[in-house]
Amino acid sequence: MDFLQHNALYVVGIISAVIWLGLFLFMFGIERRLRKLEKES
Amino acid sequence: MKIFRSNIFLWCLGIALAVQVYLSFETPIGGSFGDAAMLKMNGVQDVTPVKATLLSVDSSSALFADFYGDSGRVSVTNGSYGTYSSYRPGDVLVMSVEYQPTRKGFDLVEIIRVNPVMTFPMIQGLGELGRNMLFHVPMSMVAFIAFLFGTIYSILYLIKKDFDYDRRARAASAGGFLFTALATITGSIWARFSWGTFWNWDPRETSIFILLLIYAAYFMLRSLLEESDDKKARIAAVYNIIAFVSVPFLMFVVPRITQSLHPGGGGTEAPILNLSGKTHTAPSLLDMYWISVVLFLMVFLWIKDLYTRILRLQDKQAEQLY
Repeated sequence: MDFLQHNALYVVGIISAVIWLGLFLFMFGIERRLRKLEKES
Repeated sequence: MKIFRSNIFLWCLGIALAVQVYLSFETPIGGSFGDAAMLKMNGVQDVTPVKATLLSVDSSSALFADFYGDSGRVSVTNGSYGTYSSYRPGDVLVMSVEYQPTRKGFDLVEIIRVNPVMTFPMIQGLGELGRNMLFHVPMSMVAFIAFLFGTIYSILYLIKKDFDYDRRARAASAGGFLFTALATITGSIWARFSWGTFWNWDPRETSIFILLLIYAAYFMLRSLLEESDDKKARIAAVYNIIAFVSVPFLMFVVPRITQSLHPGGGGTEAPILNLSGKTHTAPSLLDMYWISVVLFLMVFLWIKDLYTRILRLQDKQAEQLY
């Protein structure tokens, strides 16, 4: 708890980086599936 | 467009993301000696981070010049974390200092960073909350650009009767809706810590809520219409154009002509877009801001491209079925 309070900014930074990374991986996954579907059709 | 499917675009996006996260969270906040003195005298905060260049050192204090050229003597006291022994004149230090009005000098509290690559400018009264500036404001700007894209595509659909413009209009408006929602969420979090509550029906909050409703109605209209594809697309395009007329009014005019807590409200000058046409924002913060705008714009263009392609595939599938 003490660690979280003293490093709040870095905790927020890491959480936001994880959200960004998750979003990018999700969109990249859609991109790959779309490319495959576009080739098929 | 093919550019959004290229690896170069994805690499640029990744680099922009890394820079944005670095600027938003890793850069230390560095104000001026004037900020430190003013915040202490007004009772806002005792300790303020200051960015200054070391000019000279004596036994227990050092003379600094901040980026405005104002000089300040910062003394090492019993409560200070760190001394100046390992620094030379010319070094740039970001340090927490406390103003001492009796001797018009400063006490060193802590040395935060030495020769930083970049610092986040101090926004008086906001402190660390100011970092939200790199999320909330660019998201609002990208939302406006997205709605503008949607309207242009709707106009192009009405002129050329090409269904692809209808798909693009739908995708761009969806992107605009998403970024407006994100700007509302980040603004609401900001309001919680600056104004004391997540939501208080401030004119700015109310106008953005109405805007969200207007665009929610656009998507409802599209899904509820049972007309032919052409008629449906035409009605949606006309609605989209009319909806955009309200965007500048709800985004820029209403919050500026009413009494609002939001910057720019109640006749105050907004930091970036205002009637005088001058930006009231530190140049380094403005640079960081534009990098964020570019990042969010790239994310929007990617989302728009993905959604358009999904709609294209859906239509193709529907054509094959019937």
